[in-house]
Amino acid sequence: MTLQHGMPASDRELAEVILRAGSERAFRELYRRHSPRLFQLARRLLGGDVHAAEDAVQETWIRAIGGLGSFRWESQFSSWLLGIGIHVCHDALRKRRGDREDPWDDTAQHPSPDRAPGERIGERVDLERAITLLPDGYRTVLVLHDVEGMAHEAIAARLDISVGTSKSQLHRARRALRAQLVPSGEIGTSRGR
Amino acid sequence: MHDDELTPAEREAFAALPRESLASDLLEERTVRALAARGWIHPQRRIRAAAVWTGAAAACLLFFVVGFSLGQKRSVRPETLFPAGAETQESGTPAGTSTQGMAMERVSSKEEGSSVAMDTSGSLALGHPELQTKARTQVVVWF
Repeated sequence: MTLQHGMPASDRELAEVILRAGSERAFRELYRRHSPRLFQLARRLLGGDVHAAEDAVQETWIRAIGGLGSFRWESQFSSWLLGIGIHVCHDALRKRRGDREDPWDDTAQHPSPDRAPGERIGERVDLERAITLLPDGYRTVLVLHDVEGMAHEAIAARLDISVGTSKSQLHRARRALRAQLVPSGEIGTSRGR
Repeated sequence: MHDDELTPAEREAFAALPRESLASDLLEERTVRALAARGWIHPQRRIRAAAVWTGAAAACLLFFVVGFSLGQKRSVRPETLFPAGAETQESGTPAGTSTQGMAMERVSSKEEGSSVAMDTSGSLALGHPELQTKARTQVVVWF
């Protein structure tokens, strides 16, 4: 979608058209611009569950468009949208777990992740697959910190946990990941897709 | 390697992970419907190509039928073109003879009707410019 000046419309211009006229075309443009990133993040956070990730993307857009009028444009639209997406995924994981366990409990002993029939302990697995096999709390912090590049403070604020919890979860997540990937315990020897 | 630090190889491995992934088109439609149901966006009116072609075909058919009907109504009727008095005056023959001749040439099919008009425009209507013009016009209508 382009505006009168011939340049592609900015996120803010599209958002204004959506708010003012409820333009489906403007929404689709915004959706296509940001959904691939949002979908990939949701899929990782939700352990590779594509259907859950699709539900999360839809719910994220519903919350985003519902709250678009209150967005102050002090940060990038994409950051704001991904922030909502993280909340939605976090809620989905909590709902899926029920009250069975606290994902941020540092003292909890997480069972070994399920392995596919062909995967044995010590055997190389794909990095992407190894991430999906991590316990929810580990995976969430590792994805946000090591893949998305977020700082512990931001992660703590998003997930409503302490910075210390975020750091300890990351430490444990990396250790679990290394144990899964190669006997020597180095992530880098196995590439993601 | 310190447990809390990523090695360069590990950083590289994380950096190589894809950041984007395409979801299905159905998800986009689903999301649009969900937002439209809440009244936050207004769905576009979609005129599908098939509907456009169907409409165009129907319009063409209607145009043809209307044109055909009009053509039928305005078809050449030699008896209305050449009043008996005019023929008599011009040819100098009795009106009854002329009407007989015309009756012989009058046929039911439209093609032949047009040929009658052409014949009459060339012969019987000679000297009657208004009749010639009318006959020519009706020949054109036929074609």
